Amino acid sequence: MKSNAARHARIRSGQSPQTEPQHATESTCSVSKRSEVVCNREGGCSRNDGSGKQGSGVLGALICGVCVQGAVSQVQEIRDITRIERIGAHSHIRGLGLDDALEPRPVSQGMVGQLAARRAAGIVLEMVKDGKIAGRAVMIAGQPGTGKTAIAMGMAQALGVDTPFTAMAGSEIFSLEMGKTEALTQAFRKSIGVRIKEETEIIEGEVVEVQIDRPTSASGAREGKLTLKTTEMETVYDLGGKMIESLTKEKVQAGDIITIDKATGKVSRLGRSFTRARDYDAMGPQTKFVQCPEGELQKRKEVVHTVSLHEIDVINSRTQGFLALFSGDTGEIKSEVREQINSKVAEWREEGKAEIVPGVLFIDEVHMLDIECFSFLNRALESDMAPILIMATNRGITKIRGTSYTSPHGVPIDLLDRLLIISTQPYSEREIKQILSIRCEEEDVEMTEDAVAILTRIGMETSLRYAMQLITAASLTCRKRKAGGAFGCQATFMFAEGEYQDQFLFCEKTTPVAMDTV
Amino acid sequence: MDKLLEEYSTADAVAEEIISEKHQISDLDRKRNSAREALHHLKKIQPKTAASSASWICFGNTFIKMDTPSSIKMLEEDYKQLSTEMEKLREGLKPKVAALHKLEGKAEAKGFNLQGMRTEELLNL
Repeated sequence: MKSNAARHARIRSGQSPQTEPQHATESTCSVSKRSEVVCNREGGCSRNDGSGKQGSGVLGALICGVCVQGAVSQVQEIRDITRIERIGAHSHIRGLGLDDALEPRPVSQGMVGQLAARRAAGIVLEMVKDGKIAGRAVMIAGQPGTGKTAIAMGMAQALGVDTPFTAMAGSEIFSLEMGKTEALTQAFRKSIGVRIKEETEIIEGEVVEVQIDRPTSASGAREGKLTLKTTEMETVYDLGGKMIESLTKEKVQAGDIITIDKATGKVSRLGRSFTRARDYDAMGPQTKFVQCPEGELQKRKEVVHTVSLHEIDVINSRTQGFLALFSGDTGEIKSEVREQINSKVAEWREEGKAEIVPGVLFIDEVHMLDIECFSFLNRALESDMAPILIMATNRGITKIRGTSYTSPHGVPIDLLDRLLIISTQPYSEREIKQILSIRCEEEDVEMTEDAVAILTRIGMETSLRYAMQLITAASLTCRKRKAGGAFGCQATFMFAEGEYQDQFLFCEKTTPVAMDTV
Repeated sequence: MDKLLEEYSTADAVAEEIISEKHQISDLDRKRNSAREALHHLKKIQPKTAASSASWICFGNTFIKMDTPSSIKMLEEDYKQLSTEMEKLREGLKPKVAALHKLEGKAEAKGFNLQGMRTEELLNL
């Protein structure tokens, strides 16, 4: 945006128009979204100051034309990009793959193996759903590539939309802009939902007639009548000055479906009635047709929202304003604000206005947290509105960050005592094969039996993650060589076998491991 | 088989009840709207006419001549009663819809038993 503005300034100040269009196309092509912005702004400008400053108006129009061209060619490109969906490492996971009795199915919902761990996760999940446990912590521990993150993702998927789920990595909290505890507090509060019901009395109907009388004298108040109908009834409302004003502001006319908020008197147009669809031949593309409402005119509308405590924090932190919610740049939130919100939420809870929905906070790579964070977690877990904390680590006995002490999983003993530990086991060869074939499907790659067998072996010898990465790489090389399905990615996985290791930094193996070459 | 039939018939009965109550609500709203219209009109003409003047009021099929202040009072009472009646029906609808959902095996809609609040209450605590 900044560079755009700068460019505009230059164009306005009168550089030669000969070079400018070229410049414009160049930059619009490189950044697609910007080109639209440029186009809109320039279009508006050239219209606005067309009378006063003829020169800049023409130039603006010229640039506008160029930009539109750029934008059109760009729009197609954008579509091309969006068509390809990003495939993440765990995009194939749809749930935990358990049956109704919480027994894990061998292969289901993208999950393979890890039966015991999945059953354990399922039990924890049931407790979460019932809201039975809050402020407990679960740790998923296991070797790299044994599906820890997959299980956490599965839990998130199985929880459904209503339960808040926040995923973060342990290293995310180290930032210059925000304290470690602030980042953790925000993560905690993101995972606590507050369910509230919004209730409004509205009048909803199709406008049959709007009649606004001209005032008899200059000082006289305006009067009018509004006839509204639903499929079942029709009635006339007398209008006062304020209502007339808001109706004219919304450009309400006969045939519109409108709602009027009873408390505030706010009028909103929902669209045109279907029965009036043929009133005019020429209609703007944004004209929306709506069915005439049924039932009573004066309705009560109830909407249930689940907002997170963090969202309420951001909305109410005065330095930022609620727009910070969209930019994501919330900065630190004052503890007074939080306290105030806590007491307000507690008040709502007592009045029966709100329910607390404890969610799940997932911290991956938890050994990256340091001793301060752990003691903070200890304390935060004891608060009565704490979410369920799920941590994952692949470390065994290791140093606790920030101290010289060692501890299992790099987690201090006092926090470890509060944890339920789910351990994951390395996958068997058959399971690896199944996971790889699921990934092949997910990544839209067809592979021969032989290739899957080779890939499975690579998975056994190196890691599952590496084998999964090779799928797409192999398919691309394959397509390039136009080889008929044979697996051709030797160059990449030879590296894994240690042949070139001594040429690189951090080489711990002095002799290459003897292995059959494929 | 019998059990299935029984379940279906209870679900149907509940659904029927809900539909009829909904109709009742809209009927009441229609009455309330006409009461409101009449009330508004009477109040508008009242200052222009003499205090003891009478107006023709239509009840169903019969017209009755009544003096304006007492008819206003009557209409106001009607309006109030209709409103409370509607409120009662609306409150009664919720558990019935929940029961129907349960019979149909749908997940219950959470949060509708809460007290309503306005959006503005979330802002500027």
